[in-house]
Amino acid sequence: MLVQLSSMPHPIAIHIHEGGDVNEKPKASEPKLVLRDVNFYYGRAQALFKVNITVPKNQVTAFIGPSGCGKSTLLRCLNRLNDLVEGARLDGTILLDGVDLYSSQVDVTDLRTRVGMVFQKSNPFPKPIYDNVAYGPRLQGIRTRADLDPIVEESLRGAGLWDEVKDRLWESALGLSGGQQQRLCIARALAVKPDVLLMDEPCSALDPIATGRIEELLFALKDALTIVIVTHNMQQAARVSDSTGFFLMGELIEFADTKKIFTTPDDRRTEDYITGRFG
Amino acid sequence: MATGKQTGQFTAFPLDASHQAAVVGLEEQQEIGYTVSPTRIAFFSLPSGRVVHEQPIAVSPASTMTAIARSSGKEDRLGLGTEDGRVVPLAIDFTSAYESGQRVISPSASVGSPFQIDPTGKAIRRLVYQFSDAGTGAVALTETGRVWYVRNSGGSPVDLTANVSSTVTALVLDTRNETLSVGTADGRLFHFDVREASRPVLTGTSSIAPAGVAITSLAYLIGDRSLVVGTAAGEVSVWMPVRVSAESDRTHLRLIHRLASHPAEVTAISPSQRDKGFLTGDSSGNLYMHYSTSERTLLRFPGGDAIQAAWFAPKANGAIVLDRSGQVRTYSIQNPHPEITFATLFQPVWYEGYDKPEQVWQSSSGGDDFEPKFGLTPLIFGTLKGTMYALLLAVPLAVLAAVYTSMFMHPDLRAWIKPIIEIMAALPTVVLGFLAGLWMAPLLQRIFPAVLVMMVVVPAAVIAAAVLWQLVPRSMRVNLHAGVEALVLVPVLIAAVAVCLSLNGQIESLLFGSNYKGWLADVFGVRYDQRNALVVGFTMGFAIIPIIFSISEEALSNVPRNLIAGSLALGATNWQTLSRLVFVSASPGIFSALMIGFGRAVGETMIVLMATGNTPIMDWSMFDGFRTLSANIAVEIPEAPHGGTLYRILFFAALLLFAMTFLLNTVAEVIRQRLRNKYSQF
Ligand SMILES: Nc1ncnc2c1ncn2[C@@H]1O[C@H](COP(=O)(O)OP(=O)(O)OP(=O)(O)O)[C@@H](O)[C@H]1O
Ligand SMILES: [Mg+2]
Repeated sequence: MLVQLSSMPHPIAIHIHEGGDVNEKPKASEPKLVLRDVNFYYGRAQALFKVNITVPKNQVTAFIGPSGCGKSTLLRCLNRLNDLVEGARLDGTILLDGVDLYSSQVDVTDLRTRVGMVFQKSNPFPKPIYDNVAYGPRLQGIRTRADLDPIVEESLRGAGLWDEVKDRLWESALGLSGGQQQRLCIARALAVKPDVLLMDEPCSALDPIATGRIEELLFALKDALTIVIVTHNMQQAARVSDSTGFFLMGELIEFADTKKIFTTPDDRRTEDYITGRFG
Repeated sequence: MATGKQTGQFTAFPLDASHQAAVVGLEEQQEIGYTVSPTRIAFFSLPSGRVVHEQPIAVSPASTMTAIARSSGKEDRLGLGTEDGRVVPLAIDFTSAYESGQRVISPSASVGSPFQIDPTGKAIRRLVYQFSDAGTGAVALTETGRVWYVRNSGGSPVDLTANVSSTVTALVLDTRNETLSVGTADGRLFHFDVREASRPVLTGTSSIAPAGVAITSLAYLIGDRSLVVGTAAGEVSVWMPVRVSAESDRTHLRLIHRLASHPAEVTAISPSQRDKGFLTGDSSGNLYMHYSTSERTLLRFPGGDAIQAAWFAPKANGAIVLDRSGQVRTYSIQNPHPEITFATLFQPVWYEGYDKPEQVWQSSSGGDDFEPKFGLTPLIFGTLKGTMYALLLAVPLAVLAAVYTSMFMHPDLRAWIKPIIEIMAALPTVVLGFLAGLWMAPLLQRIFPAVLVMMVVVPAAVIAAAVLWQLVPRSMRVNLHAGVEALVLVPVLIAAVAVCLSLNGQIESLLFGSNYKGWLADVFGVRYDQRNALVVGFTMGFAIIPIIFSISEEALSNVPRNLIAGSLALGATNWQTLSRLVFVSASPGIFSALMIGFGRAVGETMIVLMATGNTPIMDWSMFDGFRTLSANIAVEIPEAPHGGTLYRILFFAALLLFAMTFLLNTVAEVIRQRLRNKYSQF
């Protein structure tokens, strides 16, 4: 199939495999995001060192590593949210569906509609629930209730929140519980229909039940999306992800199948970290 | 507000039913009163009624007195009319001396030389006697129904009878001896111009009372403008010459105030000598005290016998009344602030000399007979006008500056800009006011055309510069930090302003055809005051920009970064994030900023004092000055006698100012709370 990246000034055609042998796992081989020799600097301080990763399509990819190792930084590189940081600089290449994110032809706002993000700390807007979800679609010019209603419902259902909030769509989002707020943020991200969903420790502030619901959500969502999740919770990474990358001090130490990382990691430091022996 | 009570009652003398002529009077301290009857004058110590001095009134050649008139004014000057058509002047004086620390007031009366008013020698039934510096005038109605007028004792009397087509029932001369008014039994008033004593001219007639209702009493209020009319039906009204139309110089008498009616015929009117108050008495013995400006009847003393004569004490703090049975009653009156009611403070009032009821503030003037005009509405209006012009300038500038500073400016630059703007707030407003009044007002007057054009050119130049900046290739821009673009604007702004200023003359001739003031007057009919709302708008705007800026900037900066990141991550542009999220989230803070700015502008004194001209006019024109409540307090408090009416009104104005800001802040706080509950994070 020929997919056109409509937003690009110079559409680039790329070939994507479709269907094929049922026994084959074609998705695993399809790259969604490709990072090549990515170095990232906050001013003079380097936060990422020569990172090379290929994130496969329609899978959940987890990034783990100790605090301050650059996981969030990497995530924010993927939707260019780091552009906001004064003095930040990136070199290397990041390709989304084969297109360089940092090329001057890419429209940042357009990129961000394709790469959604859920933040560590839930950040619902101080607006009604409905308006939170409709925020993204409205930015894209969808105005009428008739057009917005189905999107809002679908996104809230997608985030598993619909049944809880359908009667209070016009109440402030700030009245929701922490877990609900986080799912609302997921719904908000889903509403713009992204290809990729970046999640930075989405469950860090949630109890096990809420966490469980979000994890279920990831399974449901990955049919339609490519998900990159940062987590400090080893079990969570092991449960939800298909492949896992382990970072240390801005370096990617190891990137492989989740099963492999958690059972037979190649690197000693990975093993130390996942077994909790890491100093 | 006004209180009063009867303080004494005694019998002066039995009045002879055949000549019911008598007057009463009071000395300033109200220690001594007097009655004058056809035969004698008696002085009483008050309130006891003990006679302290008495003297008969005699004239040569001997004649019986048939009428008595008291000249209005401060001095006790009287005239008595005789049976043979003469007028006998009578002067009463009080001298006070101190004897062993005790004040002793001694009265004296002297009879002047009589003069003939009716050359035919008929008995005088009704007399008006008016003593003035310009001469003494007298009008007499004789037993034959003729009306005679004479000025000064030597003048030759003029017969006015032919001009008056009805039975004469009342007469009045103003204190300057310029106008004579004759009231008739059919409710009409005939006006004569008597400035030229030998040739009085009938200038007009007015229908005052319904046909058939006689005018029974006439008196001018202090100042000779308002004429109080009492009728046989008991009605009391105040009439005043008002221009027939705005363009015309001609006036006609118009009813401007109607006071409470008496149940019976009005028999006596006595105006106050210090304000626009007056007493009226009726034939049932009721004594009312009215106030013309506020159109209120302040006191009603119940009656007895028909009132023959009434007199308002010189200080308007007492009254003396003589009734037909010869009873004298004295009253004390406390009425320190007669002109003030809520209506006179806040509603249009028909003042003397005005064509229609108006809201006016004019607290004082040179003359004694001045009618103070305490309309606070022009001041409230001025306060709001100044505030509005200031906010009109300050709000857009301050809020947009706050938006730019918090959202787009480079942090290094922000670290400089914020304190600089906050230092602006530390500038004493007296300095700003001084600069505004003495430097900016004349300057603005000179360069007004340029300033007008600047308002269009400067923003246009900024936008043009921004567009051009976008066109500059990215490669040339990289070495400038993001957020420093603002500095690029500085030369653009300076250039735009300089161009406008240098073309001032050309702009003026191009837009306004040589003279903008003439043009404004021709096209809009507005006058250009040098100290006007525009100057105040600029200066007071400048004074409140810092506070609005600081609070707004704070509010905008306090919008959590992660919300902004959340919005951007959804594909919003900076501008969309700002307008849809940041502004809404910061709205309680920005609203507070506006309200605090408003409060500052409302209470601001020095700037408006120095830069407005302090003219209490009600006109939204930006080229007119105005006077605010606060400036009014500053201007007038040095002139306000402690405890006086003005003094109290100024305090009331301050209270009003407080109430305004209090109300405003309360409402603002309520709105802010609601906004905060709606939009704030916590
Ligand atoms: N805006 C910034 N400016 C400068 N340095 C930054 C900035 N954000 C992060 N850093 C630095 O970059 C490094 C990586 O930070 P990052 O937030 O990516 O870590 P992390 O792996 O997400 O940590 P955690 O697990 O605690 O969230 C840290 O040393 C951090 O101090
Ligand atoms: Mg992090």
